[in-house]
Amino acid sequence: MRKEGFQGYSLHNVIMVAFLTSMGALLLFVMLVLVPRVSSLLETNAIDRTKETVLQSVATLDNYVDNLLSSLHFSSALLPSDPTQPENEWQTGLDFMKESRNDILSIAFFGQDGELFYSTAGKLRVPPHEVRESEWFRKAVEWQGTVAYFSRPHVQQLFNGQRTLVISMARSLEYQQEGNWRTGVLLMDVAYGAFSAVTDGVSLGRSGFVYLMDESGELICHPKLQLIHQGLAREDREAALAQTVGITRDEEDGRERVLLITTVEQTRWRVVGVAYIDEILALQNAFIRIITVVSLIAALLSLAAATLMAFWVTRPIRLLESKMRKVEAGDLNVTIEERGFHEIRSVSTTFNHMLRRVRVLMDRVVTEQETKRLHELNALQAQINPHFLYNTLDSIVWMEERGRSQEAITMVLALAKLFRISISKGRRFITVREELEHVRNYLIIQKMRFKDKFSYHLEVDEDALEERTVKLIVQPLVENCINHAIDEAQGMELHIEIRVSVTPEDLLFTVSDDGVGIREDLLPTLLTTSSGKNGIGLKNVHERIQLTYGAAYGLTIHSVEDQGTTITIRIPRGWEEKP
Amino acid sequence: MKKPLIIGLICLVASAALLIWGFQSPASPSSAPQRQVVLLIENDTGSFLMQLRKGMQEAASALDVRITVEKALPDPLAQVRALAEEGADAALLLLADPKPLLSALEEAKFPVVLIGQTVRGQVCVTGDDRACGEALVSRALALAEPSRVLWLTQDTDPRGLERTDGAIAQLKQKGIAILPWPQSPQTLASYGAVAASTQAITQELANLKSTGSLGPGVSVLGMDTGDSRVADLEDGHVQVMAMDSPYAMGYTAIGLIPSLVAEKLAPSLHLCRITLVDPSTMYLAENVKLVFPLLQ
Repeated sequence: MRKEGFQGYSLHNVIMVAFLTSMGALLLFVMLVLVPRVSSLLETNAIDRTKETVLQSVATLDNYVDNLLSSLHFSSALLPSDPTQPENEWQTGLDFMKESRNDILSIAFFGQDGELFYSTAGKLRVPPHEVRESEWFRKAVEWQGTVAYFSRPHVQQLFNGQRTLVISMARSLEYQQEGNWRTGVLLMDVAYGAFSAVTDGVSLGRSGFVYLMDESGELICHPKLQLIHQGLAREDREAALAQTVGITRDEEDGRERVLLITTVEQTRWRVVGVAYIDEILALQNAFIRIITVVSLIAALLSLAAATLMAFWVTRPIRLLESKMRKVEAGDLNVTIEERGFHEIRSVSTTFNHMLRRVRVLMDRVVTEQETKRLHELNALQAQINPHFLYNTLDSIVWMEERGRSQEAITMVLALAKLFRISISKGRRFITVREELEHVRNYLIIQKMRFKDKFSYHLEVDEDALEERTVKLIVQPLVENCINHAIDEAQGMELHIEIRVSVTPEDLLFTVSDDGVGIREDLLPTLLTTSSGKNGIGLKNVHERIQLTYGAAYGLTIHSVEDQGTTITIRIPRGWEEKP
Repeated sequence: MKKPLIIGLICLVASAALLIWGFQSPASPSSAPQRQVVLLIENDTGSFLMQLRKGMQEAASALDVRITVEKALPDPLAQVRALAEEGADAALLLLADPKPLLSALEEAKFPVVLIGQTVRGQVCVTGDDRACGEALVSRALALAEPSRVLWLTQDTDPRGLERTDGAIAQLKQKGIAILPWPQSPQTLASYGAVAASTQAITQELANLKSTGSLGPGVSVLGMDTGDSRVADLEDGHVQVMAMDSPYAMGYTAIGLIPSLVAEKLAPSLHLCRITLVDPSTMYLAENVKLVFPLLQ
């Protein structure tokens, strides 16, 4: 038979699966939907914050460079159109400019041929052609105008006594010399430390940092500059060189990095913020770790709850099941505790009630069977009634003594047949033919004994002969008639009419007499009290019939005083005998 | 005990364990034991020591190592006791003759790193002298023909001998002259490029150059002349100078400490790059800390 729904599956397992499935679905939703979204938000947020930090340092550097450019342009504004003239106010101005700021180490103005017009740092120690060949000089002249050239970090060695690590700023300026316009270069050396201070203080996470590099990828400032120069560390600038502004990622020593790149316009330097993904995402990782741990704990607790709940819910059912198995095995004395869920309690109560009814019915059946057997025994006993037997045998002897052998033989034969049918090899059910044979034999014996005291007539519907009936139900009625006839007839012959008929459903035995009848007040008691004088009595027959066929069947007594009595036995046709 | 109750108990215990494990704070770096390293010196060696300490500090900050610098005691046993009392985990030796102290430290099974020299059976950090010798010869050959290149050696300097070893293949191959120091100025002046294997020889050559004993046609290549290096390069007394990086030595030495203390480091030689600097490159940012170590 095809299983429908959950039929056939263990309730315990169904509860477990249902519980775990719903918890699993929830956890799956959290892990697959919620966690990635929140992780993504955390990552974006972390990168945004890192970006802000980098932009702040860029802004600081921008401001600083703007400031320096202002000083450079202001210094250039101080220069006279002809620096070869003896006036030196502009030189004082340059000195003042240099003194006004700690980060400006020297300001110098060079002519077109590399000759020094003035320097705040003193005399030149290299020949003019070396100045002319310097990169800063060439670039400044090349970028004519207000655009300033920013050099890479280097040790300034142009002037006597000065050995400082600087970044040089240079711009070209037009001046007049001997009536000719020429192009000179204003050089301003800024302490390298002033630039590195902008980036050195920036930390992006525990390991992250900011560095500067020029357009060609040469490092300007880097927290590990010396290590890189010594070959003890490296900074892969390829990814950062590929763009002027943007965000990109690379990998270093197995750690993924995010590079935030922007450019300082005035210097064309790239500012690169390096942040390590594992540090940026520390919060995200912590979140994922916490969610994972919480999810695992939730899963374990769900498993525990599912197990315990399934156990707790199904325990009373399993108890119920085990008790039912005991009942199935035949122990009807089982009692189930009526407790637990309402439904279980209800089932337990109903089951206990059912068991009690079964026990009562079984007791009743046992009792009925015992009563039946008792009645049958009684009926049999009646057949072996000593008085009847004694009297019959006595009659046989008397006949024999009188030479009436044939009558004696007839009586002996009738007695033998009477007892044979009474016993019927232990069968409870016999044919109507046999039952009537039994009655005939009885009547033969009694007729020979009581001669004219009574007469009888037997009328049988042929259709009834082969019907089956519980045995020894007609003879007691006939015996009852005969006994009353002998006791109360007062010399008159009693006529007994015995009729057997059938209806579509029933088999009817009618025993009528024309005797004195029965008092009306005694009628109700006839089927309820045993009549000791009259053998097993009408009660015995009536109860046996009802025990066998049910309460709808049995004896019906109709009697009119001084007119007669009719007793009808009604039993069902086609009755299947129970083994 | 019923199976469901056992399962439930196991789940509860596992949950509790997960709760404790999952929410415990990650071990902070400061909770790991800090290592202490003592640098033993003979005297303050100026810029070399300064750069060495900077390199050591750079590595120490990442590895959570604390560094102290002390003058070495004359009595090795007393030194060993002092180290033990301080709770030092390892010692770095910057000594001209470390052997007496080494024996005592070895006996006490004390982890040691030697700086600036090579001793068999020890963990040593020093300049790559063999590569330096090779590079010097190559530069000399760029300045003069092989027949006019001279290599000067000095038996008393182990590092100098190592440089000579490094240069020997090229020296032999190119037929370059190899002479012991000292040599007369006349001899030296006949060469186009004279390469010195030691600082002492280089200093002498620079002096000869400055006094004009070696003509302008003789290029001098050699080792770092120390405090006079800038003047020697700028004034043309030395054309090419090979420079150790004490910063790299210090950084490398501290990097070895965790393995050394964990007894996972066998005797080994760790070489640091030696850089060749000339007047055109001496002012570049990458050489600043070599040529101008005191420059901030």
